[in-house]
Amino acid sequence: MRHNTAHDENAPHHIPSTGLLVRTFLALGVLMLLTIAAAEVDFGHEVFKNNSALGTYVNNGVAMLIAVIKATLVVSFFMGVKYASKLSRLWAFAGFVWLTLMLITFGDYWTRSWEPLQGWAAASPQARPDVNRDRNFAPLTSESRETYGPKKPEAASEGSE
Amino acid sequence: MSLAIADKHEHHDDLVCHQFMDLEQQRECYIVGMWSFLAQEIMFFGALFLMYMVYRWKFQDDFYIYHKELDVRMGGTNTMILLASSFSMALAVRYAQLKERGAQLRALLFTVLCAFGFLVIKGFEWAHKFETHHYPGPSFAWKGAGSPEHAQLFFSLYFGLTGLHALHVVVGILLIGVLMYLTKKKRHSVEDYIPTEMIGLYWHFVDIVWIFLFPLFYLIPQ
Repeated sequence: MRHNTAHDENAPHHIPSTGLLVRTFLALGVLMLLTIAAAEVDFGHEVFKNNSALGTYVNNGVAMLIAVIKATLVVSFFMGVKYASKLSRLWAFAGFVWLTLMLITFGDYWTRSWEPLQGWAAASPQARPDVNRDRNFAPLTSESRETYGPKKPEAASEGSE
Repeated sequence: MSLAIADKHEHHDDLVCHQFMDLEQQRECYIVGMWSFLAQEIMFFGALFLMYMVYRWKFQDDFYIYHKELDVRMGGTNTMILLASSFSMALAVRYAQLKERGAQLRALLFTVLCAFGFLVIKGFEWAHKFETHHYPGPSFAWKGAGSPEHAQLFFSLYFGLTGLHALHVVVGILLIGVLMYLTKKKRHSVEDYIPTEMIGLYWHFVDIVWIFLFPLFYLIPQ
């Protein structure tokens, strides 16, 4: 049934049109320029008025969102996953699902400082509190620092930056 | 017995290897096999990306200082070159499906030229890093702001990730080169479009890795 008599018997089921490939390429080029332009915008100072930590999140978020859109375009149209068989799509999906699961590991590094426990604070203080902004949502209070914080006196000022 | 089976499948013509029922099944097997290889590649690069994320998270402000050493114009040009090569690779697959061999070979040639162009620009970037001793090792030197130890870490990640990516580009050039040779000289082995499609999948994957490497290294926000 699939082997249409008008076609070569060995012809593939779906051949992408040149127009589709050209449009995909143009969209990728526009997104490439957009990601450079977005990186020029300092969200921390220009948009959110000196909330530089939030600005860093937004800058990174925009850059990664554009990269994911670009990757999706490449996978869907250049790699033809949109028109592939269900089994092929499942396999194409599997690698990215695994990647997502693995990146959850990063949540550990992200949230470790939210809940200061003895040992953690000593094991994972920002290596250079003078240059690295505090991006802990719940910095140690003076009370909890006494209980849980690092014992070394020179590290006592960390988290207050 | 085996001859009888061979006769039975005669109408599928000799594009189909004997272990497959028909061309459709054979093609799907190849595509699934290629994607399982790419899943392994995603895992391989994914772990390296995670490593990068952890250090970037810890030393964001330092990394912002170091990333100014990278030339965003060169990185951007290389991104465009790889996107163009992916586009011509997708065209090559289309021409292979239509059995337009001349157009297919021209598209593949353009892809290879783009790949060489990418490596040449990458080579200039690396050469500059070697001149300024910004490559990790005993002679590493850092005179700018930020910690020199973290600078070495940043450039280790830079050379590690872009180096592995460049290695994939070199492998891609070899694969496309062999494919072009076979298409020209021994057409039967690449009569079906699937070999082109598989190498295309590989090449697009290399492009996707760069799509993420470019913002992560060249566009670090303050």
